[in-house]
Amino acid sequence: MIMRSLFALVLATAAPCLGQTTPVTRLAVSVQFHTLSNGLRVVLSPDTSVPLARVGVYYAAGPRRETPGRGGFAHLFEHLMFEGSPQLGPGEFFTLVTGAGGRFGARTLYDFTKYNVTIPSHALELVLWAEADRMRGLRIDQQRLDAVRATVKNEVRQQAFNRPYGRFVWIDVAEVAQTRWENAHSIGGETPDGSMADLDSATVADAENFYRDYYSPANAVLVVQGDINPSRVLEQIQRLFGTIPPRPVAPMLPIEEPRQVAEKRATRVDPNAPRPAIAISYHLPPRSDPAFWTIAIIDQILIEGRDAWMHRALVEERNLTEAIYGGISTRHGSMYTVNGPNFWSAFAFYDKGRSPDSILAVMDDQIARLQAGPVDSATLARAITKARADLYAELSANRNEGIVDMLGQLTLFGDNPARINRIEDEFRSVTPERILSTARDYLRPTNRTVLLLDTPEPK
Amino acid sequence: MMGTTRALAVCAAVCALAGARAGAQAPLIPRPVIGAPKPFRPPAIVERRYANGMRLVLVPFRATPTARIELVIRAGSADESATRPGVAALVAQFLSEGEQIAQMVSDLGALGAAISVNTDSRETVLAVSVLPEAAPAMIALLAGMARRPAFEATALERLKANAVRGIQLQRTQADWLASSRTNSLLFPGNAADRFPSEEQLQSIDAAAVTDFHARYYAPSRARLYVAGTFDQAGVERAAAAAFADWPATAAPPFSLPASAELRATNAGDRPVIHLIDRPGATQARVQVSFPVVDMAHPDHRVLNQINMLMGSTQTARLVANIRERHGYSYNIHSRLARQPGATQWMVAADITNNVVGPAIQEILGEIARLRRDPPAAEELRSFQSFMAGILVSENSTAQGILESLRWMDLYGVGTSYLGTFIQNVYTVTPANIREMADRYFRPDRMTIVVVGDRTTLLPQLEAIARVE
Repeated sequence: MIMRSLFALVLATAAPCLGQTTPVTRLAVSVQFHTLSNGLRVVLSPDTSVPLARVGVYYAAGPRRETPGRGGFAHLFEHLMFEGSPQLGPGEFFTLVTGAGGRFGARTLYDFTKYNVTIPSHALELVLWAEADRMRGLRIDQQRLDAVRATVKNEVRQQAFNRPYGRFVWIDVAEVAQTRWENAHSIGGETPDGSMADLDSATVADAENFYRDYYSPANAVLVVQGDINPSRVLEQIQRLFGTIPPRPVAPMLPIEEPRQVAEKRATRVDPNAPRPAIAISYHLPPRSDPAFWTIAIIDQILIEGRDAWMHRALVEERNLTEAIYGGISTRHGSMYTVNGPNFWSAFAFYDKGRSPDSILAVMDDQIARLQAGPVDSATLARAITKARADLYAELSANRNEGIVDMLGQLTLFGDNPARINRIEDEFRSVTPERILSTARDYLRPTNRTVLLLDTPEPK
Repeated sequence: MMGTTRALAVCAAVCALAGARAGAQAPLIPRPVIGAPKPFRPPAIVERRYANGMRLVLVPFRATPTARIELVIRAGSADESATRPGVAALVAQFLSEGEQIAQMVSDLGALGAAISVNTDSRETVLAVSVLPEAAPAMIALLAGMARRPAFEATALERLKANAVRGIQLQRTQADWLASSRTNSLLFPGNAADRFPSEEQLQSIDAAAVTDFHARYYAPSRARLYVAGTFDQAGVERAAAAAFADWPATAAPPFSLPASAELRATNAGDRPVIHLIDRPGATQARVQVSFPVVDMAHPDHRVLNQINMLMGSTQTARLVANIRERHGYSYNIHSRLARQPGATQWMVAADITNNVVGPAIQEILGEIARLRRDPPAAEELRSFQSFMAGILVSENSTAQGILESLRWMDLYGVGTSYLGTFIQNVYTVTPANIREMADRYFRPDRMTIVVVGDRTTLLPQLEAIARVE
């Protein structure tokens, strides 16, 4: 057996602090890309280092596809996908996967819903069969919808309302900053007052329509990675998925956000929060714009790690907070998981009695440094290294399911899974000049929302 | 947007031919039959021991593209004196402090981004994943942190303030409230569960911090693990340079306590519920716990399977009942919470207020059923296949491998454990399961804690239990 692994060591010019001859890692993921006649996009990526196969199915069916009155439906539907297909009854998908020694997961993100399985590689065909069966047809009845709805409402309660900071930044910034309902409403479907009326009113017919409109082969990407023989797996996929009749995909309504021209401010009271918090969130350029990757580097300079400017200024020099957090798509996914209108944010918790403006002023000082002139090359080099380390962490996440997700996302967002091996180049191409112009263009107050989170009044 | 446009174009071409009918009419494909799993071979381990007693464990493992480095110091809350709770964690926080460390972190760029420092009852662990080329420099940095921390007075007040904030946040969280109350009921006086008060934290002075470090941060209590992708010779050189000259000291020898005494916590005739009021909560946190023996005990192998069967996977009985059948809770699960001398099997769930009583009754009913009836052979077999499969996936990354190696080291479980795990899984029988459930899950050892809105919950709880 030839051992193949997902990356290779390549001799290249090393970072100056590590010496001249250190070999530098570069990704070298093996990628094959096929499109079946029914429109299903298929990515195969062999890596025989352990006897496991990973399957990811990505449907371009996220909350941005929902309609007013049906907020949270994409996530509810994620749960319904385990309730039955032509040859599987409710919950049988679980039994099939776990009984073969596998584990599964599903997640709804802003632009898509994903279904992951990791399984000992001998059982791969069984998983492909089950995924094909539920791409072929849906079976759902009122009784199961009601039970699933109750579970999902519990999930939303638990995540949004029954813990401190449950909606902070990832939900409430969008509610304030986005202008279109498609972008502004919560993934969970709840409203700030705790109502889950949209979930309550969802019907079996809604599920059938959502499935028909968005869960078709042409709106999906299938990724198979790991201990696989690509030509044999492609043959299986042709037989299992290629025979699913094509179905039209409902057109997507526009989701672009207008240019923001004035700073927005809002205050939310969190009944569970022991301490107040502040967030600043800026609209991002689209992923296709080099400025998007520049902001990922800016994030590293300002927030990530002990050498980050906001960390040094807020935590170490002034002790205004214990930590600074943030990033692109912070608290829900990452810079790699979102395609539509999105934010870069910075946020911090602070002691009661302190003024949020004192923290905001320090944050602004650090942003102003970026806008005053180009950063030095050492700062940029450190930021690029940190961004690469984060990329590798992303690929290794969830027992290496991260690599499957990355291939799925690159295909969903641009039909280009092979781009996985060029992400590092996006970071390396960032220059001090680009940082300067991007900081001036995007980190302007008129492009941001300042969100204050208050603790409840003492009773 | 791009994907959508392209997908529509495809459909315009092919859907016209197919008449755009849904899949129901297409012929169904029969379920494939799968063969036998490939054998699981644990990765090879390279071990070194320096003259000062410190150990180095290397696991070259190319499935992970980065190097995972974990420096374990066997110093934790169990080593604190009863009057100084919190000092172990505070010392650990100090490790990242000081100008010199800050400068190294800064110089090394990425290396500082993700060093996590965690302290539990027995160990303080500095863990980080780095790009392979940075592993030697990272090892030098970790050595500097553990061996030569700068205990600066200015940092002490800041770190104590942070620790107090951490305590305040914990105390707003229902799961923490439930588990800390449970622990104090199951294992009173256990060192692992001493949570410092704010006053106790504030009273920790510089001498307490430096004393604890001098006493317990010693090579005889230290292990360095490196797994994943790295240059082995370079890492060995870096580790030797960083740690081999660490002077041996007369640190107290490390030992683990015996398993906790499994004592009755109530009369057992009627359940007792300990209720913690959290006014206005929309859900109740419920935790049902039993004390059990520690990891190294032979019974633990069967308890592991019971845990899987009951609540550690989507098909488990409690999940199928509480979540899938009734929709009472999203996150119901069970687990073996492992603390040397204080291990428990626990079921926990966040449950909607109006169904807390019925949900607890279902949980108790499932536990009673397990003590009464052995599981069907087919049901048990399915969970055993699951355990065999996840052994492979859990050990498929550097971090996962180190997790296994570290607890095996801590409990002194032999290195053959991983290699024989799969064959041993299948030797457990339905009768073993029933017998073990009966032995450990006795009503008089059951502890139930509920955290939620007292006014809403009280009538439901009093209908099924005595409420305290």
